[in-house]
Amino acid sequence: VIVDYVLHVVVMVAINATLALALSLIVDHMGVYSLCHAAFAAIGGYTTALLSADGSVSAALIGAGAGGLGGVAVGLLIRLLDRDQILLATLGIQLLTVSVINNLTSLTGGPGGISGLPPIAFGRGWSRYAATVVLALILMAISFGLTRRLTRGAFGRALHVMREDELLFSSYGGSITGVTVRTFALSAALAALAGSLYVHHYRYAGPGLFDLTESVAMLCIVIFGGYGRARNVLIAAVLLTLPREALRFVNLSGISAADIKQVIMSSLLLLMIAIRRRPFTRKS
Amino acid sequence: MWIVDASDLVSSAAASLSREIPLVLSLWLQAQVSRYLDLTLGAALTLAAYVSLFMLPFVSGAAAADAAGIVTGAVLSLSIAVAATIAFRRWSSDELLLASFAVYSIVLAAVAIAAGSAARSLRPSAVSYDAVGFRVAIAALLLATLYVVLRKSGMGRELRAVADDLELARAHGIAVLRTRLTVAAIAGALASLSGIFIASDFGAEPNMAWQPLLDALVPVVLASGRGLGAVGAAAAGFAVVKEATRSVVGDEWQQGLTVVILLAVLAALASRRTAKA
Repeated sequence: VIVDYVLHVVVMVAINATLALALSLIVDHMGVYSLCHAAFAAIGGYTTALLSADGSVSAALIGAGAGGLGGVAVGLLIRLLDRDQILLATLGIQLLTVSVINNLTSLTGGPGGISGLPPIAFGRGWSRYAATVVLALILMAISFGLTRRLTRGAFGRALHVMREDELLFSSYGGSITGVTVRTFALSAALAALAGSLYVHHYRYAGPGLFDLTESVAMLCIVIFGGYGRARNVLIAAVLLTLPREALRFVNLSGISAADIKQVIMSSLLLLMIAIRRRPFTRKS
Repeated sequence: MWIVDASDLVSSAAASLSREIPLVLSLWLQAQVSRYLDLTLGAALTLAAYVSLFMLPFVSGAAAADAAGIVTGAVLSLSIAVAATIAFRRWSSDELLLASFAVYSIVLAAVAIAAGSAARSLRPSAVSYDAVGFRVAIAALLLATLYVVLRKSGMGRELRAVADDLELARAHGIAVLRTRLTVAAIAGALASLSGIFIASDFGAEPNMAWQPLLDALVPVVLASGRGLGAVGAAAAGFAVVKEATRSVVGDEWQQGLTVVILLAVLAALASRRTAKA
């Protein structure tokens, strides 16, 4: 049981790190806050849950594609918005996604979700946790390598110039729409992959897994990790996931764990904004 | 049949508008002076509703309980404004918006922990504000008072000066901090009034402010940079649209529909701004 729990924590750290690395592309490198990453993970998770009868990895890839399309749509929507409008729009998208999940009962199972999903299949002879742990760690490593490589290359330089001064970026022939859409699409696809793994790990897809508190938690990790370094985001994911997982053992009679989680996460977010100031200002 | 439906629509839109117009005005006022959308007004709304319900057995009349609720909401908003204006004055508008969202989340989860997640029972009919005509009169009175204060009083001139250009207002000797704190207290009181009206109709529950906040954001965003008349007209128009679509999509899709309208408004404003540029 202890080994299973440790493996579960490893999976959660890897999934949260993937989600946070994906979000860091937007928060750290584009310079805007986003509160809809749990929504992208939900798109991937539910797509996988609906398509995957046998736990094959291909359903997760389709989920990533669906998430990427969601990212394109969001990128197109927010490309012209101010920073606070982007925050408002992403909050709205998160609420809209949960509303759709809750109300489109015939497809999503509504508030009860979809249960009885198969564990991820990774060939014969792999135990349920071993396959998930390996896949989660591979996904985390790919996300780490991808974000590091992208943000240190020409694309990263374009992102950083756009983050600092949109007018300057445009005057050099940069396409704000192109860069915004590509960043959101990549970030959303990674988040959707993490969401696919998440539902297979729990063998359940439900609105509670992808609610606003999850988006807040991801934002906390990214801000805690500082701005600009993928390695710090990884460390922050470890440091913040462990206490979250420990919260499972807190049992206060009559008090909802979700409410406690919400107080802790929101307080942490407030603290993070206060102590981890953004080192850049975006002109638009 | 159409006439009956139209009158139903007008009356339900009037009921909705009368509940939410104080919140719309509070959000608009705060956005004008503090330059960010202050979601903590949702916390003031929720807290005021609970305080007024809990105070009912302990005070002599409903008005005293409601006054306690309104004072609580105003004090909460004032405290947050003190923190935002003094300690966090260097924060950008999106950081303030994010922080206000975090504070709102903390307050609503704390209310759920303290009072339970279940909806609190409705107020006794003797002390409820279920007469729509009465509330519409209060809404009209609020709009008229706010218009007079903004246009004719010294405080209104100061407020508009701070809203137009903060640095210029400061250079002219206007007490910017005092103006901001006054507006925060007024906004908190207005949001609290909405909370009391909503609790009077539907009871109080921790998440009670989400839908009204989203509903209020639409006209405030739509009328951003414009005057009181524009925000009032936008609120009235949105109330009619919301009530007209409610019968088509059902109550459960109301939040989703409001978000779609909000996103459409944001996109339309951005497109218009780009076209002008």
